[in-house]
Amino acid sequence: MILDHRRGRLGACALFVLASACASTSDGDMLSSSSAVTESDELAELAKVVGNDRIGRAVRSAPAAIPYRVDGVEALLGIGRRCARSDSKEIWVAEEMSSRLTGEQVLTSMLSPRLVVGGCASDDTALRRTFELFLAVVSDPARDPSDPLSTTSVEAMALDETTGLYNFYVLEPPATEGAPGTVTRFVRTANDAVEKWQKISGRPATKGPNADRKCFNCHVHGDPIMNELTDPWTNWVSSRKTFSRPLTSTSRELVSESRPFEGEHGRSSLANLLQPVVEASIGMWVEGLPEQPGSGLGQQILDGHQPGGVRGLLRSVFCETTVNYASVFDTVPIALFADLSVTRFASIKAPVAPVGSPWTLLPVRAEVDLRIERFLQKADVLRPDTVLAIRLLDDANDVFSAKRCAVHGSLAADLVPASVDAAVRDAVLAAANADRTLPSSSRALVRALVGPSVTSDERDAAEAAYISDLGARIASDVEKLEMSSGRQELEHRWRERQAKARALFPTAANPLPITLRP
Amino acid sequence: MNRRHALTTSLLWTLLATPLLAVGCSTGPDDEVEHASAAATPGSPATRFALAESCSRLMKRHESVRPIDLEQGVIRWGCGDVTGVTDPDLGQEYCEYQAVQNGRIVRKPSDLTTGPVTCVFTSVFTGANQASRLRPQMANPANLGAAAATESIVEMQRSFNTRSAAVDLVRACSSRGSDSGATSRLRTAACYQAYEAGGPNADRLRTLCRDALTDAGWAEAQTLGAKILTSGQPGYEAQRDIAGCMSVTGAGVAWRNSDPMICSRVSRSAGECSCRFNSVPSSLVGFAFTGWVDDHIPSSCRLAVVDGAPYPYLALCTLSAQEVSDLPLNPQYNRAISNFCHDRFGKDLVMKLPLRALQAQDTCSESPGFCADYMDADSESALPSSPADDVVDGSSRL
Repeated sequence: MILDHRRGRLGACALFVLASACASTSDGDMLSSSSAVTESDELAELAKVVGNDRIGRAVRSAPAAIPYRVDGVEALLGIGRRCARSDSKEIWVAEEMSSRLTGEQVLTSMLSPRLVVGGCASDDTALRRTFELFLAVVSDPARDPSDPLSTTSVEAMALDETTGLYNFYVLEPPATEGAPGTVTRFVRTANDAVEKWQKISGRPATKGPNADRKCFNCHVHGDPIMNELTDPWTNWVSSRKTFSRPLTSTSRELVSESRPFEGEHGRSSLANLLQPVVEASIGMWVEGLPEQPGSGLGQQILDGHQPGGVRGLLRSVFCETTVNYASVFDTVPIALFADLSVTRFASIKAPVAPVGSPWTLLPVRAEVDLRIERFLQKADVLRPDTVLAIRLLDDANDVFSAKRCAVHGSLAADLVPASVDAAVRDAVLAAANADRTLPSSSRALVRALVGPSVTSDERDAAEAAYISDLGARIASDVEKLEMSSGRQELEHRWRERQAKARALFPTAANPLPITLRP
Repeated sequence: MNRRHALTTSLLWTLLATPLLAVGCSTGPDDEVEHASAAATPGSPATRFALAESCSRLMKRHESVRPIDLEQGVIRWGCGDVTGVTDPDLGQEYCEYQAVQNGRIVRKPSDLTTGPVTCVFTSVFTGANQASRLRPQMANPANLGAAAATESIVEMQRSFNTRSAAVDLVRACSSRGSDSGATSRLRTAACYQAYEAGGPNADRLRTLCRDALTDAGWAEAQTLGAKILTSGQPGYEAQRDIAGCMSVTGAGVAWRNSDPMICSRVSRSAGECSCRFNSVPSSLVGFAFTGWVDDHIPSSCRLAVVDGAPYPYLALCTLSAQEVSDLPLNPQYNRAISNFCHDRFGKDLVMKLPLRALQAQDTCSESPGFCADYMDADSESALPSSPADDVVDGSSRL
């Protein structure tokens, strides 16, 4: 038996994407009893821990042979190298000079691979089969650098077919050699506590609070994370990037599935195609499973099964609960100049990147927050006009807006969905009227969007004036790209945003890309 | 979402896009550089230097897939239009696309009824006369489940997406491989590389290389670091690629993905390897859809089934229910669903021109490096040509 003591000792979070290590292992603190259960009880005890998802179903189908190594899990679930697809094994690869083996970011001396393995769709099915299951495989700095991937102990997140939320699992080596693997699941409760649920072979299931937030340090709401959800997908193997160095053995075999090293096969798993998978996963995770009313983070929060309430959901519209990132490639991310919502409204696109500005990883509005915003509109909690008015309160900043967050802070704590839109409109209108620094065209449009008794002509005029004003403001800002002094100013802005992202995640267990490490 | 601002915003984007996207458009015209085309597309590079910069970007965008192209003897480019092409003018890349429901084109979310919504991408050449055969085949449940209501769903319609335009482009780019401008383009590429390297001379290099370099200007550029590289030197391949790409002027449109990429490879093959190319044969009804690093299209899309077999010139990408419900909440997509097709699917649907297969037999030298890597005739047999293949209708990529 191989026990990974490093993982067992530490462990914290960040399963996916630049991620790993919800790790746990049997620390014994929460075991109410070490007495063995009967064989017939094993299945019932296991059922207390796992959810209604692919991991849960798989381990319940084989309770005596629960795998804890990557190859065993691949075989059990038909994923990774055992995926039957002919075009892709759904093994995506990123590389950074860090390891998250412990759940915390630890610098390494060389670039190391980190893998995400999808749930394996058949060639022509929708993305759901892929995103209903994700495995993380990370590098171990203690291993030979030519074969750095740690393949013992497996972390996974699986979409629950009842709640529509992701369940976070660790499959670990057993306490007793030859026994089935230990199944641990970390659960966020309605009161925002994190619990550890565990089933060790031969023992009763245990459930108890966990002092550390574990997976939820990084997966703030329990969401899939892909930091840069846009071209060029910095650090990911993609159509823009190959893996940086040769590997051997299992690491080579796995990493080769992202892009072949030397034409050894005709498959690939490029970040280009992980992006829509992650976006779709976040979409369904927030809005719920079509066949399961009440599922999905949004409704689960509104119904009180997950923490935050409607006011918590509104934080995604006014402020930010996490961030994604964007880098200069062909263009400069438009978020450096203005909020994405208003640029879409005004049909303004990103400017061409100047030569010599290789800026990477600008914190931008998170897909999670954007999806929650869409959920609130589809659920008729907020009207689209109200959402736009909120963003207009500080259209230069898509994230880290003190102005917008202050308005969020002013909202009553006991909002109920039916009255949210009216309350928000009142608050936004009051804020716009009170803010003397707000451009007059923005104020006029806010009034047209959420104010009383606005005629169609008045609204048209307000929209035209705002779009014209916004275009002029952005054009003026974009001109800075042409001058050295201007580029310095923009680079400073870029760095300031990165500093604020660091402040959002101040601990060592964080989802920040390595270059933003605190 | 209110949609009344559509006209205003279109106008704004037109006004704003040109200065943002056309680097150097404010400078005067150059004798070898075309002027900006339609207002709903990006401005063309207005100086030689801007053209070199545009080409350098294009090459960097393809840097990671270039070795695969060389090995396979093909040219790949993205179907999705470049930033700055707006919805009325999407379809610049030998690939046209639109959203279809129940066999009919749906332009806006407000046009939607019930039934699956599919982004249909066609690379069937304009005028290829395939529509009458393809339209009813779309009724196959594996395709759209309804016959295509119009030709434009299955066959491209724009005049610059004809086979003749492709023939014309390859021919024009071939002729530029060793024309009188080749040395000038190489100098500008070298000058651009020296500028891109940065340093105190960068601004001067930019000024010097804006227009055609005289001997005196070139001499000064060389003292500032510009250097025409020889095979094997670092940066050689990039320099040649940029110079080749610059030969697109007059043959195609510089801001597209396709034209400069095709021109770069064709002009290099002609100039450095003495290759001659046959016409794109009439047996090729379009450029096949493929992937960036292999021949699989993205798994969210599928090739249409025509006569019982996958048809490489029609890709169908069906929206999820959630994606359909998202459309009205994004002003870009609310204005035109084709923008969604572009963003969601178009960028990773890749086009492939089998250049090696077009080479005229025994014309290419097999000198080591680019020629041997790219045009080794032993690697793949040529496509058959026919007398009719050389007939052109006068259409071009311009």
